[in-house]
Amino acid sequence: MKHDFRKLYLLLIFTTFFFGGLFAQTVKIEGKIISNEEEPIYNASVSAVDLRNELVISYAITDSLGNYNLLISPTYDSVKLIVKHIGFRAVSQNARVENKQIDFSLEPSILQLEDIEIKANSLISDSNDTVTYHIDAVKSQNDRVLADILKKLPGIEIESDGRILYQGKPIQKYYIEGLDLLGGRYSLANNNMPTDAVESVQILENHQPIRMLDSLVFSDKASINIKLKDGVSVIGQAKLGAGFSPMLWDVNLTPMLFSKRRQFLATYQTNNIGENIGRQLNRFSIEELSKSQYSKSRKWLNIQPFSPPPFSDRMWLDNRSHLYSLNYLSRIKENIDVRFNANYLNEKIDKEGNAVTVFYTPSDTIRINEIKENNEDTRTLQGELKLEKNTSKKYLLNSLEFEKQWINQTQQLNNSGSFITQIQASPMTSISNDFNYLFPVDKKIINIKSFFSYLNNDQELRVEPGPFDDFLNNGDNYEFASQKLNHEVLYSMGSVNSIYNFNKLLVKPEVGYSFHKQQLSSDLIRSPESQNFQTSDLKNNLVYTYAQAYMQLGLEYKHDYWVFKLTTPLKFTRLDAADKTVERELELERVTFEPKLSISNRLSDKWSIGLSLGRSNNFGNIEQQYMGYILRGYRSLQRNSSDFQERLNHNIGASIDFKEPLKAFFASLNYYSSFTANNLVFSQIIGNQGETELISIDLDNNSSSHNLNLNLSKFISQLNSTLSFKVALSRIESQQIIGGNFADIGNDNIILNPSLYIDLASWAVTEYESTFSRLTNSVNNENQARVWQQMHKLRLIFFIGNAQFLEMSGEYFKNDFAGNRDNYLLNLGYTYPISKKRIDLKFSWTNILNAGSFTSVYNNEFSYYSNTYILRPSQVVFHINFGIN
Amino acid sequence: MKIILITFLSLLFFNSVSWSQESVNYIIYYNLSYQYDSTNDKSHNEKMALYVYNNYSYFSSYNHILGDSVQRMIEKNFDPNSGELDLTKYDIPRTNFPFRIIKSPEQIRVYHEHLAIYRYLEDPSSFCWEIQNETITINGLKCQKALVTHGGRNYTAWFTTDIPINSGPYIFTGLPGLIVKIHDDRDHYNFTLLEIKKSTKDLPIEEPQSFQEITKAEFLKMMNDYRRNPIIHIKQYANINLSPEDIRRIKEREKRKNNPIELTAN
Repeated sequence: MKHDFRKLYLLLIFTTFFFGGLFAQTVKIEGKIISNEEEPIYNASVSAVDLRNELVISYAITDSLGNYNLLISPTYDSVKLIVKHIGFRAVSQNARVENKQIDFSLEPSILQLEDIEIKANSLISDSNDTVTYHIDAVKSQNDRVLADILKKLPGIEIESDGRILYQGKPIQKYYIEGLDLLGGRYSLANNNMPTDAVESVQILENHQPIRMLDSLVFSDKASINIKLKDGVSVIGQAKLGAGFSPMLWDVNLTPMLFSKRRQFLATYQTNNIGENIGRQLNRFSIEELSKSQYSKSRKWLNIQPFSPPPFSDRMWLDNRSHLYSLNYLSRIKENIDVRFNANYLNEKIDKEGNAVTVFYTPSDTIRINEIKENNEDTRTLQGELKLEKNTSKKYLLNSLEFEKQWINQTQQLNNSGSFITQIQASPMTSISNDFNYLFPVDKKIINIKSFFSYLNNDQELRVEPGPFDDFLNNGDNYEFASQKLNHEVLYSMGSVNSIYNFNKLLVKPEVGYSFHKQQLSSDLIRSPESQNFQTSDLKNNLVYTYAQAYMQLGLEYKHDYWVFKLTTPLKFTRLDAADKTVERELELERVTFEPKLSISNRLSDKWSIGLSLGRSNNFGNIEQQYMGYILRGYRSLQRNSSDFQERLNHNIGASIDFKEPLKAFFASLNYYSSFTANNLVFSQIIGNQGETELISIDLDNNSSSHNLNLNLSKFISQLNSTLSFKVALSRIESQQIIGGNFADIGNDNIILNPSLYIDLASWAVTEYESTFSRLTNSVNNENQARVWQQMHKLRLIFFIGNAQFLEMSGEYFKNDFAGNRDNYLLNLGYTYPISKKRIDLKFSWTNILNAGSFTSVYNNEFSYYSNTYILRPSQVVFHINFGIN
Repeated sequence: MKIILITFLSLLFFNSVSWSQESVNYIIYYNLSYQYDSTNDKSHNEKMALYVYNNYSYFSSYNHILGDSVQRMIEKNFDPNSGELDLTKYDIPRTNFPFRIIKSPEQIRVYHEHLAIYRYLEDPSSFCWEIQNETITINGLKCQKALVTHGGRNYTAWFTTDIPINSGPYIFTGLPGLIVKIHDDRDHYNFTLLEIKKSTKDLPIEEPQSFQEITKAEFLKMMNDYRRNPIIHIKQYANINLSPEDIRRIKEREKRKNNPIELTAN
C-alpha cells in the first residue's frame, strides 16, 4: 500500500515538472478558502481580475475541501483576486502574478441580492394566472374561424371532435366575454366565430370557476375566455353540401350576436348524408352525467331493434335530420347570470335488414328468422334554465331542465312467412332540477348537493295480427293486441360532505340519501276483446319505492410507493313494491356494508402492480317486479312475479404492467373476477313461435365471471413500425332455467387482436388491424355452437402539398354463422382548401364497392343473434364551407 | 392521447421523493426563446426557473415546477367532490423543454421525461469556458462575455460577477457569477434573465427516485427515433384511432422539432 503511494507521488511530481516545463508561461495561484469557523467553503468563486478594468482574466471554483487552483497568464504583472460565495461576504486582495499559495477566510453574511426584474416586450401579457394572446399578432390570411387561431396558440390543441385541450387537458369552461353561454357545447361558437370579431384570447390557468373556492380549493384546470372587439357584432358561418344518389343535402347556418351583457347563438343544421348531428348536443362537460339515470325513459316496449354496424355512421345511417338550437345568456346583476338554452332535434331514420336468433336449450334448438323494415321518427325538445350566483362568499347554482320527446316507430316484419306490423309511440316528459350550494363554516367549506327529477312516460305498442293467440285468445286468431303502459318516476338525492387532511391521511366524511318512487300502470287490450282470460293478469298497477340513506368515510393513505384507498359506505335501504290490482305487497329492509379497497405500488421504473377488492349489494329494479303480463315486443310477453332480487357481489382484480420505453416494449396483464350470489333464477319459457315469457323462481344460485387480458406492443425500428398483439379471454358461468330445466350455462370468448402501424414516409402512413374472435356457448357443459368472426381494416393516408390530404380505407368482415357472409367496404376522401378565400372544398365517396349489407353476430348466455343491416348505397358528396361576417 | 401520455408521465413522477428540504436562496427566472424548427424562423418562448441553493442549483421549465406543485396539491388536497384520485382529470402544466437538471461543481445530473424518465450525466469540467474581454450592461448589471462549445453548438454567454451565483440556465455552470444571457451562434436557443427573486418559503426540489440511467449518446438516439416515428410510439401507449388531421398534426409537429438543444453527445 505504502509502496503504491510512493509510486503515485513520484508520478505526480514527474507530471507536475513535465507540464510545468511545457506551460512555463502559465502561473498558478492556489489556496484554500475557509470560513471564519475554519470550515472549507465549497463552490466559491475565485476570480483574477484586471486591475485596470475589473474584467475577469481567469477564475476557479473551490472544491468540497475549499481548494482552488487558478492559472494566470504571466503577461499580467499583478491582479486583484476576488473571492465570492453566495453565503459569505466577498473579499479581495491584490496579488503579484507568481506561483504561490494564498488562502482566504470569509465571514458569513446574510447577503441579500435585490430582486431584479428585466422588462421584456411580448405578445403575451401575463398577469397572475391569466395569459392573454392578442389575436392580431397571431392571425394570418388563412384563419377564418376562432378555432383556426386557437390551434396556433402555445399549449392549445383542438381534437377532431372539437374538444379543446390546453396543455394536453380538456378545458373546463369556455367563456365569451366572461360569460358561459354554451355550457360545454362550445364547438358551436368555436367553429363558427369569424376571427375578425375577436380581440384577444385569454387562458385562465388554474381557474376555479367557483369563486368561493378560489385560493382554498386548488384547481389545476384551465378555462378560455374570448374577448371580442368593441361593440355588438353579428357574426357566423355557413356550410353547403350536395351529392347523389339519391339527392343528398347537408346544410349548416349559424348566426351569433354578442354584446357585453347579452349573448345569443342560434344554429340550423339539416342533412341526409348520414351525419349524426344530434351528437352536437352532447356536452364536453362531465358534470351532470350520473344524475340523469332516472330522468331518462326506460324502454319497456320495443319493436325489434337493430344493432348498428361497428363503423362510421356515414356508411349506414339512413337519415333525414334537422337540428335547431337557440342559446341566450344575460348577466342580470353583478355575479348573477341567467342562461337559457333550447334545442329541437328531429331525426327520421330508416333501417332495413334481417336478424337470425337461435336459442339453445338442453332439449331443443329454436331458430327465428326475421326480415325487418323500421321507420323511426324521433322528435326531442330540450330546454335548460340556469341561474348562477358566484361570489367570494357564496356559491349558488340552480339549473332547471325540461325535456319532451316523441318517438314514433313502425315496423314491418316477416317472421318465417308470417307478416307482422308493430307500431310504437312513446311520448315522454321529464323535468329535473339541480342545486348546489357552498358556504363556509370555520374555514371548512360545506358542500350541499341536491337533485330532483320527475319523469312521465307513456308507451304504446300495437301488434297486428294479435300475437300469442294460444295464450291470450284461446288459440283463436285475433286482429291486434295493443299494449298500453305508463311509467312515472320521482327521484331525489342529496348529500353533504367536507374534507379533512391529516398529513399523509386524507379523510372525507359524507352523508346522503337517494330516493325514488316509480309507478307503473299497464293494460293489454286485445281486439276483438276475448272473454276467456282473467284480465288482472294483463294489468299492472305497481308502486315501487326505493329509499336509501348512507354514511361513508373515505380514507386515503400514501406511503413511499404505496397507495391505499378505502371507502366504507354503510347503507340502509328500504324497498317496497305494491300492486293493488293483485293485492300483493313486498317489503325489504337491509343494512349493508359495501367496502372497497385498492392498493397499488410502483415496484420499479419498469414494473407496477395493483390490487382491488370490493363488495356490493344490489336489489334489482322495477323491471323484476311487475306481476301482470306486458307485451314488450311481438314475441316477448313477460311478467316477473318474484321476490326482490338480492345479489351480493364480491370482486377481485389484479394487474401487472411492464414497460421498457428505451426498447419500446410494453406489456400488461390484467385479471378480474366477480362472484355473485343471487336469490332468484330467471326462467325463459320459449314458445313455438319463439315467443318468450320471463318468470323468476326463488332459488339460490351463483354466477361468476373471469376475465384475462394480455397486451403486448413492440416498436421495430428497422421497419418504422409498431406491432401490437392483444389477447382477451373470458368465461362467464351462470345458472338458468331453460325449457323447465335447471341448466349450467357457460360462455367462453377468445379474442385475438394483432395490429400493425407503419410510417411509410413523411407523406404517407398506413395502419392495419385485425380481430379474430371465437365465441362458444355451453349448456350443462355441452357445447352448443361456435362462432368464428374475423375483421381486417386497412387505412392509408397521403398528405399532399400544403394542407390537402387523401384518405383511403378498406374493411373486410367475415363470420361463419348464418350463411358465411363476406363483407367488403371501401371509402375515399379528399380535402382541398382555398385558403385565401377562406373556403374549403371537400369531396367524399363512401361505400365505393356498393356493399349492400353488413352482418354481425352477438351471443349471450343462451342464444346467438345474427344481424344484417342494409347499408347506404355508394354515394358522392361535395362540400363548400365559408364564413359570414 | 395527450391525456394518457401526460397522465403516464405524471404517475412516473408522482413517486419521486423530495430531494432536499434545504430552503432555496434565490429563484431566478429565464426566458427561453427557441426555434425547434431550424427551417422556420418562428421562435417559441417558455419561462424557465433556476433554484439556487448554497451548493447546488436546480434548473427546469417553470411549467415543470408548477406541475410538481400541482401534484403536491393533488396529493394533499385532491378534488373534494370525488373520493377517487383520477389523474386524468388534472391539467398538469406541460413543457416543450422536459429537462430537470441538478448541478453541483462536480456533477450535472440531467433528467429528461419522455415516455419515461431517463438520466444521463454531464461533467462540468468538460465546459471549457473562454473568457473574453467584451462587456455589456444588461439592466444595470455589468456582464462579461464567455464562449463555450457544447452539444454541437457554439454558445456566447454573458455573466456578471455582481451576482455571486456560479450557475446559469440549462446545464451551464461554472462561471464566476451568474449567467445573464446565453445563446448559440445561430440564435436557436437563447436564454435571457427575466427576474431574480429572494425566496421566502421552502421549495423542496423533487429529484426522481426511479429512472433509467443511459448515456447521452443513447438518449440522443432515442429522441431521434421518436422524432422519426412519433405516431408509432404514441400508438404503443394508446391504441387509438387518430384522424388524418391528428396524424398530420403530430407528424408535422415532431418533424418541425428538428432542432433539439443537444445535437451531439459531446
